[in-house]
Amino acid sequence: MESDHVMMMRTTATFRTRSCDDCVRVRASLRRELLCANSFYKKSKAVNFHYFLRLSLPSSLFDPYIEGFFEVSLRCAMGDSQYSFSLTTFSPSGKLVQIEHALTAVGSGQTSLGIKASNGVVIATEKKLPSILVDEASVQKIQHLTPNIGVVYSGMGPDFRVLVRKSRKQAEQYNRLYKEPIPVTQLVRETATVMQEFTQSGGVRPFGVSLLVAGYDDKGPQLYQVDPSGSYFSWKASAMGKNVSNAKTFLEKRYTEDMELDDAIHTAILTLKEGFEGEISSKNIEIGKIGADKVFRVLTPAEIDDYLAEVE
Amino acid sequence: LQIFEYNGSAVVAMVGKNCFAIASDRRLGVQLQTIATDFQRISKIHDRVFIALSGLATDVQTLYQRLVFRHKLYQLREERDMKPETFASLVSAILYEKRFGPYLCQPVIAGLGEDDKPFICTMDSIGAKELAKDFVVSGTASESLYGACEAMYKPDMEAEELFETISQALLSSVDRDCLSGWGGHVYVVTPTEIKERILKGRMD
Repeated sequence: MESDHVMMMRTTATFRTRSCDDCVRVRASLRRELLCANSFYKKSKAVNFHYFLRLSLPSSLFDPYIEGFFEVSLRCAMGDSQYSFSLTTFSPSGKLVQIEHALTAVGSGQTSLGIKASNGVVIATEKKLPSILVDEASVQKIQHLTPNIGVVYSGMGPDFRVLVRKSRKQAEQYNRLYKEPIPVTQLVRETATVMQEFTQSGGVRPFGVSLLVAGYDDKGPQLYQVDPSGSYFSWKASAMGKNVSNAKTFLEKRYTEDMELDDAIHTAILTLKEGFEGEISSKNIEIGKIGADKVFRVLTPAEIDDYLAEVE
Repeated sequence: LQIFEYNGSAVVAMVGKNCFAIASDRRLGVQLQTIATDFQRISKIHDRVFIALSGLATDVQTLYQRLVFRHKLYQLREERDMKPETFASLVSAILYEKRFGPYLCQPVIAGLGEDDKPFICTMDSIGAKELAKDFVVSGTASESLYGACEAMYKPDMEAEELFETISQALLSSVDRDCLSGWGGHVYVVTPTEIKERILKGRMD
């Protein structure tokens, strides 16, 4: 009677077989199966290796008379995983330091802002590229989430991409279920929930972006900011990123309740100009707007040039 | 054993002028034996949307509970009532979730949409929606109901006339069906009020 031991990433299986050859074969089989199981089950929360193995090991390996001797005791890897706790933990002062740092990351990102007008919403951002060799037409910082909701960010671009992807999927799931376009508040809430989950899950870090979501639905024009912590606020006008304090002061002075969409676009351009290093042009800013037609559009460089000319 | 004919049912909904009516029979049977004469098939989701379910009684009750649950959460989250079209899409999705082990009931949904425009629809047990402009029927008495409604219906009826029409159509159809009957339950819904009436027909 030979016995052996298979160890694979903190999962151990102990077994006995009748002969050396069988022992070697079982060991190789188990290793293979555990490897597959580990990569397959990496994402799932409940792992039942025992069940999986019972299905996958060929029964020809074992003589029916000695089946009683086959004992497999498995210790599940998941529970002992090094990353089953949250990396975002409270400090003694009651703050979540990771989120503060995430906000710092946002604060050092390029300035973006949004203004809610009486008949629409405009969002805009700087588009400072690292070199003149970068093809600026390929960089799109303002994205659609649905035909009537757009979003812009300050912070880490790759994190933004992930959030846009998740939000688009959630919006489409809502549409598939109710055959109705998702209201802006609901989409913002679901996006914020995703961002909050990443502050309370194992092995992940908070998103390093703040979003400005602009939409027009049955409740009229709406502008929301979503932070890395998962909190969201509705704004009449707001800014984020490097130049946030100057931009917000400027907006506080310039904003009026009955502003129209075109006025709002002019104000947005002026606000961006306030803290802009260098020459502002249609190649280094991006503007998106949505009006009563409920269609979100990113302005073309030609249209931006027209507005810039009006502002001069 | 025909499972859709186990308990017996008859359900009909009709469109009127800025109003709708939804009616059902009241019999609950176990094949040939009648065990209740006051079974509730029509349920209010909110003041402007009603759903009536025909088919297996246990699924009628369970599905109704699930739908009320979903609607309550929707109301809390979105701070508004569901439109009837939205509700119909939700019911269709919930039924299709159980495509290979379905709820054995056919719903009839009726509601007042935007601008008080009446909306009716029916679907089969796996969620195939069927919209109609005039009337929809469901249940063991559906064939007789189709005939009766087709003959008696006319467009743009006011609430009182609609009530008369739907009641006559229901009572005459269930008389031709042994598994449904024992009276009728009619709701006539206008933008301002909901009128619930019990009909006394042939008690058999």
